[in-house]
Amino acid sequence: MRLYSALSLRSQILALTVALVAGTLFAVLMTILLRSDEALRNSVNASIDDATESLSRVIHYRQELLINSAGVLVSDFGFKQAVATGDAATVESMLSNHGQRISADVMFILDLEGDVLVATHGDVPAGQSFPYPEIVRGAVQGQEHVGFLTLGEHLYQMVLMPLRTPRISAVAGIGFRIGAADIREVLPEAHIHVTFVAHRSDQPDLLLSTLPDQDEAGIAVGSPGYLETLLRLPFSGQQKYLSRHLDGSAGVSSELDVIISDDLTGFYSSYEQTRNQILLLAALFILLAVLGSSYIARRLTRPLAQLAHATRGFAQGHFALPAIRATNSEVSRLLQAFSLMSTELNEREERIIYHATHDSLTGAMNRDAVTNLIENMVASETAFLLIGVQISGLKSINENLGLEAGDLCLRQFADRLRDNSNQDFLARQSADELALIIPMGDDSSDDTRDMIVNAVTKRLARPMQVNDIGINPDFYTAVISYPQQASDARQMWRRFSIALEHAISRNQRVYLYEDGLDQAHIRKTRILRDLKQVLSDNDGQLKLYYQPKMDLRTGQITKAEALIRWHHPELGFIPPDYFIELAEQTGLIRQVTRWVVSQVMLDHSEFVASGLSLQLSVNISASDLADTGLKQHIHSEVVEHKAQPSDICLEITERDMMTDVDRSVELLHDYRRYGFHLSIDDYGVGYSELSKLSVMPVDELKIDKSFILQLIQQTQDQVIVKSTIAMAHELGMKVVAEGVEDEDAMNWLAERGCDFIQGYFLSRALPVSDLIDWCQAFAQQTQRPITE
Amino acid sequence: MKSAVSRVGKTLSGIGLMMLSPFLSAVLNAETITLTLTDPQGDLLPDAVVFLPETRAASPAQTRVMDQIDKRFVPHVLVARAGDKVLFPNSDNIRHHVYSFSEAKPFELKLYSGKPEAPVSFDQPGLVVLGCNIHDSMLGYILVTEAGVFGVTDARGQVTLKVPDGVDKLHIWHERYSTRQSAVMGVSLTQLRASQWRMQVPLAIAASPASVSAPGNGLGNRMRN
Repeated sequence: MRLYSALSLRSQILALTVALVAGTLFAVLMTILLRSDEALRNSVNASIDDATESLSRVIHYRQELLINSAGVLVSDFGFKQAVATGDAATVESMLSNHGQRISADVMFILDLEGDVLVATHGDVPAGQSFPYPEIVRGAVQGQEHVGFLTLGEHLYQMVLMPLRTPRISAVAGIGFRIGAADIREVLPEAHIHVTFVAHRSDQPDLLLSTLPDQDEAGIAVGSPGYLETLLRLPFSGQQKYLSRHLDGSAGVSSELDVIISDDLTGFYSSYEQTRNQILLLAALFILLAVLGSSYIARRLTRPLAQLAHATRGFAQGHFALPAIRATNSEVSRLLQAFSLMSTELNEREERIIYHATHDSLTGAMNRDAVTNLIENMVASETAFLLIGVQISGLKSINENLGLEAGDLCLRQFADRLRDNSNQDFLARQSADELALIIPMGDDSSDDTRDMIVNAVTKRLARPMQVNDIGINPDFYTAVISYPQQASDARQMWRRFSIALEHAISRNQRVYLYEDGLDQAHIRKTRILRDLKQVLSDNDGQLKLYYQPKMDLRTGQITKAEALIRWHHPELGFIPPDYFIELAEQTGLIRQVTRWVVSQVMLDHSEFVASGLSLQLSVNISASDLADTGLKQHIHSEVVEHKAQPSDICLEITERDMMTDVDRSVELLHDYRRYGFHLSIDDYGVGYSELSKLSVMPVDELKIDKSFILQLIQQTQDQVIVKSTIAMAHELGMKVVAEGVEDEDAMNWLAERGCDFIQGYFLSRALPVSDLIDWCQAFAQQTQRPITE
Repeated sequence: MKSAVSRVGKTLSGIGLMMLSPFLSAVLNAETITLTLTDPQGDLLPDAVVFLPETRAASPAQTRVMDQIDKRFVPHVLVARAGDKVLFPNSDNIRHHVYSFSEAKPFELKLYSGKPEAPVSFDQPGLVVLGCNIHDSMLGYILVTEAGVFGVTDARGQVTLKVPDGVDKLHIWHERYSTRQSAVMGVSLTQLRASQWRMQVPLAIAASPASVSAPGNGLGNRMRN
C-alpha cells in the first residue's frame, strides 16, 4: 500500500505496461525459442538420422556391389580353374577385368596361409602376408568378411570371400578405397562429416575424417548422439557436433567406429540469428510500450497534476480553476467536480469571511474588519470621516424591555446610520457602539463635515418605536477626520476612542475631535498613574490645605475644610478638580479619600497641639459613600488620634447625594451613627427634590459659591440664599456660605442668619502651620465684637 | 557305454572282414584291426580315409561309382586305387557339371544328367577334389592311392583293416585335417595298438563340415563378419 502510494500513477502505469509487455514478450520469446529450439533440434536430429541412414545405405549398396562382384568372381569357373592351376597371369588379368566392372580399387587373391598371391594395387603387395590373419583364418573356414580395412595407407571397404575349387583353396578380396572426397560425395549435406576410428590398439586411431583436422575430428567423435537443447547460458559451452556411431548392421567391425558428425555451427548461427531477431523485436516492443504508456500516462496525469496545482491554490483562496484540457471523459468529470467544488468553496468562504467580519445582528462589520478597513484606507490615503455612536440608553432598554428590544433598537440605529450612503461602512464596535466610516473627497471642507454629522445625528435622534413603545434615542457621537486629525490607523483609533469617551464623559451628544484632546488624554493617563504612585509612596507631593470657616454668630474660627493640593515635580501644580475628577472616574478616589482622612487626623492632632479646636471637613464623593470600609477607617483614625467623631465633617455634594436618594439616606445614617458630622456640599446646583432633602440625615448645608460670589449684586441670588437659609434652618441644618469674598456679603449673610462663612474674605486655603498662625492672628484681631 | 560301442564295432568289423576277404586273400598272416577315430572334440569322425602306404594292391583295376544324389556326391569320400575307373552317374533329375582342378586328375564332365558316357580313369595317386560348377555346395573327394589296404570310417568313425605282418605305417586323411587338402597324417600301428585302436585326429579346419564344403546359398552368409 505504501509502495503504491509512494509511486506516481505514471510510474505505476509505466511499470504495469512494461511488465506486461516484457512478460508477454518473454513468454512469447521463450515459447518461440523453445519451439524453434525443439524444431531445430528435431531438424538437426532428423538431419543426422537422414545422414546416418543415407551413409548406411551407401555403405550397404557398395557392400552389395562388392559382395556381388566377389560372388561372381569366386563363382567364375575359369577363374577357379586359373587359381587352382596356379595360372597367375590369367588370375591377375581376370582380377583387373573384374574390378573394372565395379570400379573396385583393389582386388587380390590370398592363399590359405594368408600370403598374397596376386594383387592389383600396391596397398596389398604380392608375396607378403595379408595384414589381417584372423580375417584370412575366417575366410579359410568359409567365412566371408565384409567391412572396412586399412591397407597400406588407405582405408578400404572390403569383401573377402573364400574361393572354392571346389574346396576353399584361396581367398579373394575386392575393395573400394575410401577417401574423404568420396565420402563427401555421398554425404547429403556439407555440415555432415564422417570419421573412421580404428580400435586395434588401446589408443583409438583416427583413420579418416571429412573434418578439416584431427582436433576437430577428436571433438566430433566425443560429441553426444543427440542434441539436447540449443538454449544455453552465455557462459556454458556449446555442443559443436552431434555424432552417431554407425552400428554393426552397416558392416562395420567392432574394431572400427564410423562416426557421423553434424557440425552444428550453422544451426547455432541460424538459431542465434532467429533469437537475436526476436530479442531485437522484443526490445523494440518494450521501447514502444514504454513510449506509448508514458505518453498515455502523461496525458492522464498532466491534467491531474494541473488540478493538484490548482487545488493547492484553493488553500490560498484562489478558487478559480485554470483552463485544464481534459484528455479523457473521467478527467473531464473530475474537472467538472472540481469546478463545482471550487465554486461552492468560494461561496462558502465568502460566507465564512462575511460572518467572520460582520456582526450578525446588524450586518455591520465587526471590530477586526473595520480595523482592517481603516488600515487599508489609511494605506491607500483615502480621506474619510469616522463617526462613532455610543447608544447610552441601550443598557436600560435591555434591562427594562428585554434583550430583543435592545437588539431591535440597535438594528434601527444601524439602519439609520446605513441610510446615509452606499459608500459608507458601518461597523459595530462593541455591544452599544457603532461606527460609520464615510469616505470623503480630499478637498472636503469642515462645512461638508458638519453637514454630514448634522444629518446623521438628526436621523439618529428621531424617536423610534421599539415593541410599540416610543423611545427617544439617547446617544453620544464622536467625529474624527482622516487624514486631517490622525496620521495613521493606530492613532486614528486611539483618538477616535478618546473622542467618544470624551463625548460620553462630557455628556456631549456630538463631539468633534479637537486637536490636543489626545495630548490631554495622555496627560490624564500619566497623572492617574503618578497619582497612584504618590498615594502609595506618600512622599509629600500631596498636601492638605485648610480653608477656615467662621461662625458668624461668635466670629470665631471653628471649622476648616481640607483641600488637597498636588505639586507634581515635573508637571508642577495640578488642579485638584482635574485629578480628583480623574480619580473619581477611575475609582482611585477611594484611596485618595482614605489618604485625606488619615492626613486630616494627623493635622487635627497638630491643630489640637497648637490649641486650636477645629472641625475639619473632608470631601466625600458618591463612590466614597459606597465604600463600606470608609466609615470604619475614619472611625479607627479618629480613635487613634484621640479625637471625637464630631471633629470630622464629611461633605457630600448635593448631586452625589441625590443621584440615588434612598441609598444615600441609608448610607448617611450609617455615618451618622458613628457620630460624624455630615454636610451637603455645593447646594443649589443639584436639582434636589426638597422632599428628599428633608429626610437626609445631615447637619449642615453648604450653599454653592455660584450663589454667593455676586450675592450683593444679584438679587435673585439673595432670594435663593435667603430662602435656602430659612429652609435649612427649618430642617434643622446649619448653613454654610462658600465663596464669600467681601465684607458686604458676610454682613448680608450674617443678617440673614447664615451660620458659617468660608471664602477669600476670610482666607484662602492654607497649609497647616500657616493656618495655625493665621488662626492665632485672627483670634487676636477679633477681640472686638463683630457686629456693630 | 564304451564297451557297448566296442562290441558293436567288433560285430561290424566281422561283417566288413567278410566283405573284404576277396581282396585280402593274398594277404597272409594278417591282423584285422578296427580303428575308431574321433575329432578333437571327442566326437566320432566319419569319412576319414585310413590306408597303409606300405601295402600294395594285388588285384586288377576296378570301376567304382561316385553317384550324385540330392546335390551331393555319394559317397562323400571315395578311395580308388591308381588305375581304377570311376563312373559319375547322376541320380538327380537336374543337371550337374562335375569337375576337378586337382593335379592328380583334372577333368570336367560338362552338364549332364543320368549316367555319363564313359567312366573317368584315375591313374595317378593323389587327392582329387570334386565339385559341381552349377552347385557350389557339392563337394566330394576321390583319394587315389597305390596302397593295397585302406578303408573309410563309417558314421561311427570306425574302419576295419587287415594289417599284414611287418606293416607299421598308417596314413589318415580327412577333409578337415589340413588346409593343404592332400595332406595326410602318418601314425604308427604300434602307437595305435597302444591306444587300443582309438585315435583322436587333430583337425586344422575346426569348423563344421558345412564350412569346409561350399555354402548352401551364395548369399546366405554375406552378413557374416
